[in-house]
Amino acid sequence: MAERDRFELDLGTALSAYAEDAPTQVRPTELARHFATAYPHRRTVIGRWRPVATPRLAWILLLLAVLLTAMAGGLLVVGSRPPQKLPLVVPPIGQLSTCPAGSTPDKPGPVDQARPPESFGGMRAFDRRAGRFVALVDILTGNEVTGVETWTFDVCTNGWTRMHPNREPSRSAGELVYDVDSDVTILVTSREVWAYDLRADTWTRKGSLPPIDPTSSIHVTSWAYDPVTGLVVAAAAEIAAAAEFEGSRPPELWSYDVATDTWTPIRQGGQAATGDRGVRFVYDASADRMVGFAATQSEDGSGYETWLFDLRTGTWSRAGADTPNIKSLWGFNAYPPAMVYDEVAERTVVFGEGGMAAYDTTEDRWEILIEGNAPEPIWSPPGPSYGWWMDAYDPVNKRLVGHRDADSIWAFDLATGQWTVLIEAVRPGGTTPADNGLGPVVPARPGWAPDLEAMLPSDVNGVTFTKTSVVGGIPSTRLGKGGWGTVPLGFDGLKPALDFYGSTLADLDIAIATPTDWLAADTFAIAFQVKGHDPTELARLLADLPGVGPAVTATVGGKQVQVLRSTGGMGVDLYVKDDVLFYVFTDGTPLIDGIIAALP
Amino acid sequence: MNGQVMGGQRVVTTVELAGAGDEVAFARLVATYHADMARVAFVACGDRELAEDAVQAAWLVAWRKLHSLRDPDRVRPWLLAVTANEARQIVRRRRGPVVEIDVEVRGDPRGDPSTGIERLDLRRALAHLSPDDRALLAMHYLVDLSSDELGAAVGTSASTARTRLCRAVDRLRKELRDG
Repeated sequence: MAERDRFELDLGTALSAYAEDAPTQVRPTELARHFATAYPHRRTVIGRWRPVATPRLAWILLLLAVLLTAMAGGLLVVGSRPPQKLPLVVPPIGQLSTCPAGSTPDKPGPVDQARPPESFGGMRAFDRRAGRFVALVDILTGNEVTGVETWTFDVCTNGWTRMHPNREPSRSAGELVYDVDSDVTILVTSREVWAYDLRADTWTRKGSLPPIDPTSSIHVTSWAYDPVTGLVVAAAAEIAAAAEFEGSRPPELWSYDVATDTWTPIRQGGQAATGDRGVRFVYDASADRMVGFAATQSEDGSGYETWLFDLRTGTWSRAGADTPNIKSLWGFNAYPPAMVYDEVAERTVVFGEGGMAAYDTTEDRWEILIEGNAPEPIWSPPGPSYGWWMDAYDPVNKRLVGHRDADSIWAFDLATGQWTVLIEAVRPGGTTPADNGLGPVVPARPGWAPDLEAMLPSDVNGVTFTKTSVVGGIPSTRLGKGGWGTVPLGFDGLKPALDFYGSTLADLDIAIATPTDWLAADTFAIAFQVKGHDPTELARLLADLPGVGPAVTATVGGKQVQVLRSTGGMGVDLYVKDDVLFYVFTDGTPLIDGIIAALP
Repeated sequence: MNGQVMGGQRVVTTVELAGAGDEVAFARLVATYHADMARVAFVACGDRELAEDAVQAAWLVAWRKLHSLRDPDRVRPWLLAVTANEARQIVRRRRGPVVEIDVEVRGDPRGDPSTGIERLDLRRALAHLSPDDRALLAMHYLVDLSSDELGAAVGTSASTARTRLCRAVDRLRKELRDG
């Protein structure tokens, strides 16, 4: 291309200045985690399906009886509007265990108990008869998922149990739902359907798959149990990027009978929910409706709509109440957040990065339970987020249960807004919901969650890097402790520190922090406080390397740390040698090789 | 952030791993190229929120389609092309060929005084261009794509891309210097 003239040079400069407002912030690992979870890569051809399901005679008879009674009494409400409560029409969600006498579900479980590995992604389904959550956890060897482990969490004893079934699914990605009628937990992925019998501790692979085109952009986005039919219902929606999106289309709905391994399409009539960025459902037993939270995108931007689906008549209706803008767990306002059904308040609870809200179907009313205070999406510095903490609903103790990492398990009381620790982290120093501005915490013991900065520098942990795994594609031999959730992921704009997601200083014998206020635009910093090393001496050594700016002494949390500015380009690398961890924003390889070579 | 550093075998390996569903490799691509994509989307959309949506959508496309990229060395122009495409789609869905640019002007509204181009004037002038042309300008002047890469990004030959770029620049020149 020809040499630029004066105007073009000026234009380039002016465009660069103009583009300073571009939304360049991002948390790469979380974005990747989100896509990998939400859109697992498909690799196999989908199997055949059988279109006819076997109805459950008992429920049909019950429904007929109830319907006839209701009609005779002139009580039947027809159509898609949510009915006033019709308790006779809606059977109980299912048998529910109770805690044995003497149980103390509010007391933390044993600290020294075995826990799932670090790849634990959260409670997935609740076995109502057993009173336990079922969780599938990926086993990682380097980057590869080499298997899964099945774990259960007893909500009465707050104890984990590693299950040892005869066989297990190949990976945990997918949707889990407990089928009350069949008393099994069902896992559906794009290529497998499995059923887990907790009492027998056996996984059974089923033969059929959701009848959706594996080459399409349609994915199973939601999976719920319908107590009326005793079947589970799957919603498959087109989740397409804008370039691929060819207009709104309703989700596909299917019921699945695990006993006969058959999928049956659910007829839909009228105007349907058209969440072009995904629809998530939960079954609302108070109204016998599926409540859908649909993420939409229109001329006015991204938003959400609330839809109700009547499984009996196959009709949709859009809720009249304005739907709050509860961003998804991942900060996107273009994907649905998490949902549970609160069996006490008989409301659908939605939570994500944008706070928490509850929808009362019978009153068609949304109530904001907690205002979100993390208004910016994933590109922004991490802030308080309920989505990070909560997984699923515990119907035995009537509360939400969630985790911060594989270590700590928490409960959130929807009525009081109070947190309770159910399993303490093994390692001290982890952050708590209170640290993140998420509300009061009932401490398991005083001082459980010391402030991060207060730990700088830490010489008390005595932990060395022993685990090897791969971060950023770096060979494991060059890494210390790594893996998702245990590495610093980004600058925290709320306090002068890097964020350690799911990790604690006890994991690390290095603390990394940086003040952000003095950083020039497009300049990034590494800072370190290294156990066993003189940081001043290290800083001097590193500052002599090409690509590293002069060391700056900064005060972080009342402690002095040496901060080095990278003068190179962008790139994020984590390297560990001996007990030194480097978090470097630069091209990396030559620089870090130099750093490693220069270490004392 | 700017993503001009990953190259050679490293980028090939990273793209191949990411295309196969490797989260870590994909995160590395995000870390490397997101800022450039955001700048292109911002200029193309003229709106910060729309740009965010466009880049989100572009990364989703990348996650799902990266395996089909035949030349991993060209992942950067490919990502920018996907971004420009998503930006165009999103702007189009806001109705009208030209999106109203309502970005809050931060800092000095005059922009860089040394250029003689005031930021407000630039904003107005850009608003008269199509999203495609704005993306083209951004891809050339902000992230330095070559003519060949520009052509590939907008689905034309390099010469056609150059011609379009020249026209867009001439239009801006007229508005900013003569207008």
